[in-house]
Amino acid sequence: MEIRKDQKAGVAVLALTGRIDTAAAPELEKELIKMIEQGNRKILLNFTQVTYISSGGLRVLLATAKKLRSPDDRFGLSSLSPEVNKILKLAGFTTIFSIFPTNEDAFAKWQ
Amino acid sequence: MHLQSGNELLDSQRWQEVPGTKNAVIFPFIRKIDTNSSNSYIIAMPGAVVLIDPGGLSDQMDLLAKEIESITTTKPVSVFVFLTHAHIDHFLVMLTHPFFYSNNAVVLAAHEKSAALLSAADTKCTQAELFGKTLKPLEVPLKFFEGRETTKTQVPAGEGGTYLLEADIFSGGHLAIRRERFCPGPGDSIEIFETPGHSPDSVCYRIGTVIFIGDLLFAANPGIAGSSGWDQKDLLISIDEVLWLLESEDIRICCPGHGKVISAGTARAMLIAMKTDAARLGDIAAVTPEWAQETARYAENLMDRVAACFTIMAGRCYRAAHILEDLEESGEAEKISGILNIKIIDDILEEFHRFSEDYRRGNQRDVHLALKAGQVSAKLEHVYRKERLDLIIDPYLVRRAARLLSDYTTTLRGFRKSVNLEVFDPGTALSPFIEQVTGSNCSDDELLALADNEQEYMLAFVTRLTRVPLFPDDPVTFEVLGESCRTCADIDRLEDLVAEILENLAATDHKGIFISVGPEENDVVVSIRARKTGNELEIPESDLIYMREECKIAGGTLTVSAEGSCYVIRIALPRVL
Repeated sequence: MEIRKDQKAGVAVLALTGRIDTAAAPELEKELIKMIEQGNRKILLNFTQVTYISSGGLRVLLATAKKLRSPDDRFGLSSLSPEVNKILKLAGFTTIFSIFPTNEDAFAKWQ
Repeated sequence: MHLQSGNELLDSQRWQEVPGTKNAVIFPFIRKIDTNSSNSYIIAMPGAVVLIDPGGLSDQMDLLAKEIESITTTKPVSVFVFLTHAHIDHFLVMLTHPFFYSNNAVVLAAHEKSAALLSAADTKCTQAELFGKTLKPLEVPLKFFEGRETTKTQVPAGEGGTYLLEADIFSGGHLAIRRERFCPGPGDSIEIFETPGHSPDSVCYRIGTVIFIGDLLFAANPGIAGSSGWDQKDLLISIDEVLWLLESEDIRICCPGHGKVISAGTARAMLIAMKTDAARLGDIAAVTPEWAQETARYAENLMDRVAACFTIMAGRCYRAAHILEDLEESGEAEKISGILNIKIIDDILEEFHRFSEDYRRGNQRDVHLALKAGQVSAKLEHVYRKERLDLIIDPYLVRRAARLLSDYTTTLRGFRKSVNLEVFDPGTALSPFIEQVTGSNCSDDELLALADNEQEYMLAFVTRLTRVPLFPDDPVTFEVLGESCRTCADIDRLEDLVAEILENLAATDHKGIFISVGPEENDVVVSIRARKTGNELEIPESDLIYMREECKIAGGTLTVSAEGSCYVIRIALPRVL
């Protein structure tokens, strides 16, 4: 899995590429913890290039949502592929954190 | 050669005495089980060196050649290669390794049927075609069971020597096995027993208290049973005969063609268990390259579905645990997080994914992927404890995961998937199922009623958290149209299919779901209509093919169409009067 980092509209955007599998999930978790420790309280994960998420990946998303729950914090996912969207929806995750069609939708909502 | 004291069984890659012999020694080369190469065994006797099954890999043969040469350089003696049968993983290295083409003293010995296959470079019975290997003719100077009965024959050996081959029938009770005895000089001899079934040319070798059993122990395994030359009737007879041999003769160690050396007692237990399996294999499909291609395609699709199913179940558990932690119920949260063995399951699925990537790069054949999926499926079935789960997670998901795994094992075995056809009224049968899939699983009132009992309350509460209604904000309408009517189909498979269709609609945010069941000419039709919402109903082609196939197995036909402002998915089932 590749992680490309960017800052836009006060939001830390992590564009992910590949599979968030058992090997990649800890790597993602480490990166997210680092970003939160650096003071990023608005984080958006862009899933355009993610075709698979394992249960380990789902656990990382929940753990991050838990760390970003102050009133001004924001955590969301954007541009989900149909496969990942289906998993998140059927696992009941879409009620836990925000899911946006695009990054721009997230920026507009979080303004 | 340096001899070390032996243990009860034989160790890999060291010389040790052959138990029950005067002066024979053995160097086993034991491999982890795979389809690339068999185990090999070098037996050194004063009059000859015998290599049983040289295998399929060069580096394995390099090591074996070094060991053989360490004997033959100090004492010139003929070298024989004995095959347990002519499957490529047992002999392929002979076509390429310099040890064989530079060494005229090596005599290849095998069943006369192996000799015919090797001489004709038969790609089917040797499994070369199945594993994508090319062959060239290989001559077998010493043929076992070539019509000799109760006779003694001098057989040619390398460099002009001759050796004695005796033939007789080893009999007792109602059993009789054709036997030959290879005598390379005074002292120890090697017995050869004809044991067809796994292949027409399979034999077992015995020296002292050690038997070399070839692939007999694997002959009822999925993807092996049904391969070219496999014969159930012969196999059942051979199992009985080898069981009898193990019981009546002083045999203590069993050396299989693949995997660890085992005791004769373990081999007996395995043979008794596999006899039951083998007896059920009467009408299995032939294992051919076409079968392998079809099964590999099915395996990839199926493993994607298995992964999705387990991820959804695990996600629901994590989500419930997340909420329970918020409620300071960390004990319950921990329990629910660990209920699925998901870490182990994820690792097993990842193992298949890595193999599958290797397959897509062209490094593995169809048959390898099909067999790997079988191995992975068996591991998942072993760790998946569904009886602990269906109290907590939606029973239809729990059942689906188990069914996907058992369907694969069935397919790999070459059987049809199990279908339980029964006559029922789909209107009556589907109504509670659709309620279960789409509705809330424990209402506020139900929860309140349990408030006095802490245990029951917590179970109901956790269940409410782990079950995720597919259309929480938009109730699904279910209606039985017209008269009540019956069909003959597999109700569990029908329910799974309906659930999958609804999941696809939920995932693409479709609303206004209207499900109806009613008669149409000779059919009973389950119709699922969904209002178009701007999102396409994107059911991937592979899913659609799978669902159509599942519908056919369940007893119906599936069609998907767009009608005006709706998508309509119809399952037509035969109407039974």
